[in-house]
Amino acid sequence: MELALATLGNQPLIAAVEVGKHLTWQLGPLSVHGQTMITTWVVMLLLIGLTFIGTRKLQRVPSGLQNFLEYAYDLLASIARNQIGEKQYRSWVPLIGTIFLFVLFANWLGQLPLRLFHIPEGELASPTNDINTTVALSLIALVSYIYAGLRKSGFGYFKHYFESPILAAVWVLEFFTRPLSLSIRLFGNILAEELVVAVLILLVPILVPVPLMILFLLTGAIQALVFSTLTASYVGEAVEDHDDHH
Amino acid sequence: MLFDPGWAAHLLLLAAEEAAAAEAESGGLFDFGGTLVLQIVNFLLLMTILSAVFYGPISRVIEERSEYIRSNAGSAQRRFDEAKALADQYEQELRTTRLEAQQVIAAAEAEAQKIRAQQLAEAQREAQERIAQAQADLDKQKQAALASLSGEVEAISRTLSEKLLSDSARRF
Repeated sequence: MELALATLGNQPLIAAVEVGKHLTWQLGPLSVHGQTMITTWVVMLLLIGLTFIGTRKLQRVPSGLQNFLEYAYDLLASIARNQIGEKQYRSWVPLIGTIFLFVLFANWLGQLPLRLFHIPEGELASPTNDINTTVALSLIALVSYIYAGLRKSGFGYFKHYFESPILAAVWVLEFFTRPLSLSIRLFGNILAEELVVAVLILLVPILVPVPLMILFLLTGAIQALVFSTLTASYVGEAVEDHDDHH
Repeated sequence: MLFDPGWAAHLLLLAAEEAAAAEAESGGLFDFGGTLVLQIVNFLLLMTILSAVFYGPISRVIEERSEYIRSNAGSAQRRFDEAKALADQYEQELRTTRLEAQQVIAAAEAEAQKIRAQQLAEAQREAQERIAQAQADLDKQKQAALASLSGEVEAISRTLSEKLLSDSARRF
C-alpha cells in the first residue's frame, strides 16, 4: 500500500508513506522481511556494543558509562522486582530487561530519519513496526510465564481452568488475549506513530512534526515500560504463592 | 487480507496509489512468516549476549559493592562496640577507684578521730592525775604545817605561862 502526495499539478513527488511493503529475503524455506531484520540487528548491535563497552573495566566506585549502566540495570531490576517480588525476581531480570531495552531502542530507532537510507523495496523503520516482531516478543512472554507457572506448581498451574466451567471460558479467553493485546498494542502504537509522522512530513515537512516526534520518544519509552511491566506481572502472577487464597 | 489498505488513504483524504503488484508479493501488514521465527531467535540471542555482557557483570559488581559496604559497616560497628566496651570499662574502674579513695579517706578520718579521742583522754587523765597529786602534796604540807604550828603554840604558851608565873612570884 502506498500513499503519495501526487497533487498540485506537476510538482515532483516529495514524500510518500508506505505501509506493508517489505524487502523480502528468501533464507532457505523462510521468507523474511529484510528491513525488519536490518533494523533489528542495528538495535542488537547498539545494545550489545553499549553494554560491552560499558562493562569492560568495572570498578567498585563507578563512573561514566558504568554509572549509567548500573542506573539502567537498577531500573530494569526494579520493574522485575515490583511485579515478581523480592524472592525470585533475580532470574527474570534478563528477560524483562531485554524486552524493555529492545522495545525502547526499537521504538526510538524509528524516530531517526531512516528514510535517508534507501533500500530496494519498502523502507527502514522501527522493528516494532512489524507485527512479526511484536508477536515474537509476546510469544516469548507467553512461553516464559507458562514455564514459570509450570516450574512453580507443575500441572497445578492449569488447575484454575477446571474449577468452574464459566470461569474456564474466561481463562481460555485470557490465554489468547494476553499475547494478542501485548503484541497488537505495541504494533498499533508504533505503526500509528510512524504513519502520523510520515503523513505530517508529507503535508508540512518543516518544524511541525518535531513536537510530535518528541512526544513519540516519550510514548516509545512508555510502550517499552508497558510491555516489560505486563510481562513481569504475568510472570509474577505465575510464580506467586497461591496458598493464601485457598 | 485482514487489512484493507485503503483506510488510511480515505481517512487522510490523500490520493491513494495502490501498488497491487507489490501487495501481492509482500503480503501487507499482517504477513506472518519467517520473520517471526527469526525475531524469536534474534531476541533469545540478544538476551543471552546481554546476560553475558550486561546483567551478569553489572549485578555482580553491584552485589560485590554492597557486600563490601556491608562488611565495612560491620567492622566499623564492631570497632565502635569495642571502643564503647573499653569506655565502659574505664568508667567502671574510675567509679571503683573513686569509691576506694572515699573508703580510704573515711578510714583515715576515723583513725584520726580515734587517735584524737585517745590522746585527749590520755591528756585529761594525766591532768587529773597531776591535779590529784598536787592536791595530795598540798594536803600533806598543810598537815605538816599544822603539826609544826601546834608544837610551836605549845612551846610558846609554856614559855608564856612560865614567864607569867615567875613574874608573879617575884612580886610576891
